[in-house]
Amino acid sequence: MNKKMTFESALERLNEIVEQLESGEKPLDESLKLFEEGSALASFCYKKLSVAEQKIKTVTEQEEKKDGQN
Amino acid sequence: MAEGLAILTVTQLTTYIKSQFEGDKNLVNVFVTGEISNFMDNYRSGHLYFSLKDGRSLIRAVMFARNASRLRFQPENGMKVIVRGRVGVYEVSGQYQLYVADMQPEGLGALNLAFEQLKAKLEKEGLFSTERKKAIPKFPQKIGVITSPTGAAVHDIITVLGRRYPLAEVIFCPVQVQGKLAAPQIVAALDLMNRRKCADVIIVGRGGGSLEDLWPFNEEPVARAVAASEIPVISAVGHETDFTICDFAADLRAPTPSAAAELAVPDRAELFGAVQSLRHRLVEAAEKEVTDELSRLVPLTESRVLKSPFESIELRREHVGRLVKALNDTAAQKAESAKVKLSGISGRLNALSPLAVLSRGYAAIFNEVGKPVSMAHNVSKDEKITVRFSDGALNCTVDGKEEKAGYEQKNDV
Repeated sequence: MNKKMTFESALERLNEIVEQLESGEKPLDESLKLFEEGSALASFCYKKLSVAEQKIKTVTEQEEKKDGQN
Repeated sequence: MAEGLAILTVTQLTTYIKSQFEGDKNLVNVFVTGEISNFMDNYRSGHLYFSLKDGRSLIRAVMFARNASRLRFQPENGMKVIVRGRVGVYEVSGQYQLYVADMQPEGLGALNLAFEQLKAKLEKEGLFSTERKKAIPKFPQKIGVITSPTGAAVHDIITVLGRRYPLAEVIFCPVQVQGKLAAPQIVAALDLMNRRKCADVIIVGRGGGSLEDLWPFNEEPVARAVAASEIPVISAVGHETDFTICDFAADLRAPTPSAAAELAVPDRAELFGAVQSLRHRLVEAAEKEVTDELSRLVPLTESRVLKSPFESIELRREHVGRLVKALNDTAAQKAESAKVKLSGISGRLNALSPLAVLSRGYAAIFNEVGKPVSMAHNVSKDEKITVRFSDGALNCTVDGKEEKAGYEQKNDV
């Protein structure tokens, strides 16, 4: 799976996969591949959503310093 | 003034008149209400010249640039105003007039009027039109926040963002949100964020306050910067009932800073639910697919092995296998009982067989053409016949025959 994938794109792809599987039009081996990908995407989404720490960065015209979380 | 008939110069008289006006306590600080007419704005000097009138009278008035620059609204002809000032005389033209220090629109406050005026102006320019509004991204990864570092707004916004969608990073740009420096700082912050493209959506705003406190958000440069922002802007100024020009120029207005944060990001709990339901549908669909496929494949060829990544396939396979086995068993049982039945039938059949009769010591006679002969009547002398026993046959020639008298040929088989 793409490391730079965003939550949004993962959710979108997951949706797509579920719809494809539900249509039942794919051959079995392809369906299984889709299932595996979907499972991974769902886990990815869960993991992203489980982020506990909010990141906060302060920007000003003069400097760009990094703050810790709030 | 001197007694008698002294002759005065124009200046002497005018100076006297002027001093009369200026010495009159009733005229040095007056509040006058009237309608503006003959309005003239001297762009070079910044002084305002106009008249105030009511149904019957008219007085000329001047407001010097020093005072006029403090006006938040734009005076215009026909506008009803209350002015404060003094009455004086302009010697050059010999006119008495109002020297206006301050002016308020009648009815509406000055700020209210300024608000309405700027709103009308920008609206006419199309700055607030719906076509200009940019969509707020559904899943922003970076959220710009432009507000005071000390107010409640920043705390509210960050708290709500953290609760609803902590996966988005907050890019905070601290600014003053009231006073003279506020507007330029807000404009600079919007500009900075757009230049660095460091946010997917920007929340700009502050907590509640008086109209005066909220004023920076009603200033034209702020409205223009908000409208010009490439990054979608959510405006969140004051309370639900506060509307600012910034709200109209923004892509989305939020009633409060907390509400802005809610509008800016999706809710994590809802997303959890959505992902869960998708995962559920995923598993259901895959299982259905596999069972459908198996129910077609298994009876056809057992040898086809499907490597499945999930155990339910194995379970279902076993189940199908058991079904197939049960089916086979049933078939075998049926075959067995059929066999038993068959042997019974063949036993009975055997008992009826002519061969069985022969085995008990009887013999069967056949004529030359192989036809069975059951009566002596049907055989002639010298005819060749075959006598069949259970273990073989004798070929014989008839030497002679005895016939029972009266026995008619009836049952020739």
